[in-house]
Amino acid sequence: MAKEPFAPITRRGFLGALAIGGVGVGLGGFGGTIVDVVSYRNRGRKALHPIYGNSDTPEWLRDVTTGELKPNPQWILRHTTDQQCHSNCGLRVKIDRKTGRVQRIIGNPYHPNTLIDYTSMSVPFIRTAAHPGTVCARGNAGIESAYDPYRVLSPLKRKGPRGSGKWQPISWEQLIREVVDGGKIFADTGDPASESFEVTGFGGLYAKRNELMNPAAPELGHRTNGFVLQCGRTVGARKEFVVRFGQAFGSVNVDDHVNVCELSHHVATDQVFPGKHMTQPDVTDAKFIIYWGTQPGDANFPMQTHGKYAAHARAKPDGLKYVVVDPHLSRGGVIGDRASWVAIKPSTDGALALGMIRWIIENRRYDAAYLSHPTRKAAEAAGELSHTDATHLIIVDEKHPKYGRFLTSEAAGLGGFKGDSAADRVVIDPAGRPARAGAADTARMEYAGEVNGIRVKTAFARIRESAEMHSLDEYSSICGVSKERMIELAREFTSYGRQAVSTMYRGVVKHPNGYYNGVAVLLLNLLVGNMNWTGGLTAGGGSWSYKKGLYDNVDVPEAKGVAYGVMITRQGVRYEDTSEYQALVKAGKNPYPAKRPWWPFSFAMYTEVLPSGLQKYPYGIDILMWNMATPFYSVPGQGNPEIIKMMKDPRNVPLIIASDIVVGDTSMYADYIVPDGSFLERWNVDGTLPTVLTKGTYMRWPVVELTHKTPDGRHMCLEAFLIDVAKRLDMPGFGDKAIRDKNGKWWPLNRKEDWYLKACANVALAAGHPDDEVPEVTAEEIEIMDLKPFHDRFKDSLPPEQWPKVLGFIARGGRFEPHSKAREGGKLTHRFGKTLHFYAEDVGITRNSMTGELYLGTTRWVTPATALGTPLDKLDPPEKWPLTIITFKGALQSHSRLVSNYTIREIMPDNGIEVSAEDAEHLGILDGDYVWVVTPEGRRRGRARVIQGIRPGVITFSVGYGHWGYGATQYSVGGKRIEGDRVRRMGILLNPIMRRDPDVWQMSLMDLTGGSIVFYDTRARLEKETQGV
Amino acid sequence: MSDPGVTEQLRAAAALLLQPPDERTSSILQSASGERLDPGEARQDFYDTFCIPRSGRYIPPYRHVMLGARELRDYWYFPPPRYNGGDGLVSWYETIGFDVSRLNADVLLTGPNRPLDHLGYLLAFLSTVARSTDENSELFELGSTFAEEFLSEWPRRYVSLLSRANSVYLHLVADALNEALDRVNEYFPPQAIKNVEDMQGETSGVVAD
Repeated sequence: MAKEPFAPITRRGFLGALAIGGVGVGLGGFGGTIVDVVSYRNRGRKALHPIYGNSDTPEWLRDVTTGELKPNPQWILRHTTDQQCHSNCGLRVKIDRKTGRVQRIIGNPYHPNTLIDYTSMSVPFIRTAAHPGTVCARGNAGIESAYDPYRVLSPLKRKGPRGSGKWQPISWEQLIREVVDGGKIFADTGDPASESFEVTGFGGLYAKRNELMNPAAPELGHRTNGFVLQCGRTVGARKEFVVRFGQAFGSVNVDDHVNVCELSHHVATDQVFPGKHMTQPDVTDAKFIIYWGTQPGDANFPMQTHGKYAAHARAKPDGLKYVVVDPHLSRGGVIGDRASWVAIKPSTDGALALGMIRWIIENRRYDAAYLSHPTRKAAEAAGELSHTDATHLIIVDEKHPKYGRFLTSEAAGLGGFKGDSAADRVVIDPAGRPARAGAADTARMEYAGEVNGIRVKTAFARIRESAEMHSLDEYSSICGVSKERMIELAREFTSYGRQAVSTMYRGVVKHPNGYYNGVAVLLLNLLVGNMNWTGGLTAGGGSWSYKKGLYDNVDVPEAKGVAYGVMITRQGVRYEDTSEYQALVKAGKNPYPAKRPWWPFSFAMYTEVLPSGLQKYPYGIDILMWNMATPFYSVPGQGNPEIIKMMKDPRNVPLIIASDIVVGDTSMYADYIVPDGSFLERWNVDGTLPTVLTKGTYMRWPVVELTHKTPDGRHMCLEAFLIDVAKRLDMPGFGDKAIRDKNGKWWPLNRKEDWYLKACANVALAAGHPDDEVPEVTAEEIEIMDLKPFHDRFKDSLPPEQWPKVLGFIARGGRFEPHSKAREGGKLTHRFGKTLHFYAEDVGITRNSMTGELYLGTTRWVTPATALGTPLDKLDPPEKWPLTIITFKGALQSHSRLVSNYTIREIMPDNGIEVSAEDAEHLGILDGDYVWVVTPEGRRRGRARVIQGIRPGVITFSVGYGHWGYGATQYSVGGKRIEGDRVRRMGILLNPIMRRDPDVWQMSLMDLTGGSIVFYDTRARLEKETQGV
Repeated sequence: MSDPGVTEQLRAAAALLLQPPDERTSSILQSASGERLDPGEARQDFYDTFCIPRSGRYIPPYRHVMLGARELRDYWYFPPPRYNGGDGLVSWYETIGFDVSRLNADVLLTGPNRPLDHLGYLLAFLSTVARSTDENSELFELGSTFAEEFLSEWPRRYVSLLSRANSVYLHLVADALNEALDRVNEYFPPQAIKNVEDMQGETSGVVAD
């Protein structure tokens, strides 16, 4: 072949001819099949080895003479806990001893999430070489979260207006000085709107810690409640740490994110299983499970464990059958003889569950003998493992002052209170006479009549009546599931004795009627009496507490009484108990609706923080801090121009500090960014999740440290920031006299390890069974895990005698009861003992702050509606908005913070809009076409993914895509431009155009009972894009 | 003043790299060159040369690849294309709202995660810039800076490789591309590169429709 540098050009004029002929690239759209595969891969340089490629050497080396495995000295192996999602799986992290860089992440075999028969704590680390645990793709990819090139490693301060994308690096000392001392701290930003703005820093606000927020409403607490720390997944001991700061500073407004997740699930669970926020099936031994709004392999508590258990159980001869009730068929809902899918209409799970309840009651398929026992004592005497309030009488006379409450013995004329509120309720004994519950072995489930002149009904009668409010045909029409399928589900559910479970997650509850849906789904369990039985329902194995024991990590006695009052989100408080309500009543005014809802049963009302603060209801925000929080990205309807514009104005929120690992989708609007550690650099101690039947407490610690150091040598992070702010203010609970041990000795809190190591000691040295004792660390483990430098650095944080067990705890990645302790034959070892509720008294006597109506103590079919009761079908008529948006959390994306994980992005670079084949055909949409999703709040463009596994009329998208921050767009630091990465912008996020409630300013649709924000009820239409450039 | 000629010509050149030749294109090329052109073969040449890396005839039309291309003893070595190889162009494209996914291009070239520095995209971008210079003369400067930064030297090298191919169609494409590059040089003459950031505007926040 000729090798000329450039070929001679001989002909000219084609171009003009082509142009004249109309050839061009921008003349219209195109159809046909879109090939979505990524054709190209970064194959990198030539591999180091022709067979093993660029693989690392193994963690273990085999001695050729003895066959024994030995640790490869090239590597440090450490155990910690994942936080790529909320499953909290144990990790084994492989670190290059020379470079200190993490090279690989696999599962910690001691941790229950990673293996069904996980390794006993007593097995030495060296013996686990050939038996590693598993983690999912997210866990494996976690290295990329830590080593993200967009990490913020030192403090940043905005250089320009909020959100301008211009930052200047500042020193740690300047950061602490400015945010504590306040003043004209934005003078150097070049922002005309704020350069002369006087900011009240932490110091100025702390000086008001004894001033009331509003003297006319003392229940609002002190002015220091103007400090608000809005946290995302800041949970367990880490949350306890930040709450400690809030308590010492004088603010109650330190809370995490739960209502943006699936709070109504927890609240509904709490009302049926008092004090518990979650129940789970004993998956591996169950015979039949109905998964509502979730499926094995999708987000759950924990995802990989649920998936693993379900796969194992399904494979057993005569093993598990399960049904997925969800508008979307994801990984777990495979169709076959062991699994099936019910494509329900969004928000109607309650109708299907109530239809099933009605059929079960009418056909007497419930366990009547079990339900007849009114107390734990009576149930246990009959060989039962739990009991319910089915027989307990409720006052149903609306004029009675105690309407909606359980009838007590005293009110029934049966004698005074005897110290056990459940036993003190009244039942109708088999002979038809009123009796104190504690005195009856069995009682009637069905009763409606008068006792001592008071009209009453049993809790069971109440749920039966609720179920009977609609016929099966009506329920079928509401939920879009045939009556025959409904009956078949009910029959099958009641065909396995105690080994059938009804379990749920977010799909059931993220609706305006979510709480009531959730209760209906949970009540199915009570009808078959499956609680605490092998193959039945569990509240989990429990955990060892990190809060108290050898050390009191919680109390700050000198700060007692400073932090109190109504939280800015108005959670956990009845509107009727407020000064505002009482003043309105006193003035003869109708107190309803409140300006914004109050949330008497809810907690962690994350989504209400910003609009409440901006609306100053019940008060405003002086200092806003974010940690792992990205409300503009993650909250439906909140990332809209109006609220962002308001947040950008310092007059609305004078100081915003974000603690983040990157310039995130929301933290990009902060005044300062405090670098935080990634999950591989953080501490935490917390309980395992209840899918695991045994007792367990995991720990997370900095297996690497990547942020820059403070002047005194600590790595920068959230805790270091809070400690230094506290010390500059001389706040109690921090500094040299901070933590009290059980002997009354005070210990310092100058480094985060001073606190977290004591949390570890509380767990590691807590009393337990010989089987779950934490072994002392061995010299070999110290060497493999390189624990000596760690010990030397922090040896003063604990007395010498506690270190061997604490290091043993760190070496195991937690403390875990052996898997053999999960069951005692047909019974679960760890049992839940409180009364299970058909009727939630607390809910039944509380009023909705918007409508003034009483909530329902039990459940019934409730039409999804706005805060003031406009049904969603009327708000956004289906004729105009024929589709409903739902979301899902698949196995590769669980939330907002995996966008830096390119390994995962290569598997699934774009999420797309999943649309049913039927709808697509009707709309003329082909797989891969660009479509506009239009809602009443706006529109977004994305690629259609045409699938069979979604109910027609529903569209969905995986969360985690469509970023604008987190490295997705350019910004500058110190004048140097940092280019955004297109890969991070890929995909579509519909949260910003999800439906807001027209009845409340800047509030998304919400479940006013449980408090969940609504992700599943925005109405939409699809418009195919036809325009070219 | 805008030049409808250059706008259309650059657009046509881009189309040669992004769309398989249809009957009309083949016919135009045939009449202008006097060469006999088989439309079927031309289409196959298009796919083999511009779309299918495993065809054995593939010449990657990506800047980041061509910058690393080397002629070895018996063959040309092209580094593997990277999906993010052209991400430096994002802010340029955003400056004028240029969206490659909306181009009328063959589906093989328009899926997600294709590199943004495809020669066809670059020419289409300049075509769009040229179209708008009438309303905004500052765009001349943008076009010149862009051309200097992204279309210097390597496209000629690319064209020379096309002209060596055993294909009448590819020879004609090479000639047309050379002509297009000449037009770029004439219309957007090189000048000193200014501070790029000054032309970008600020970081975008949440996109409001």
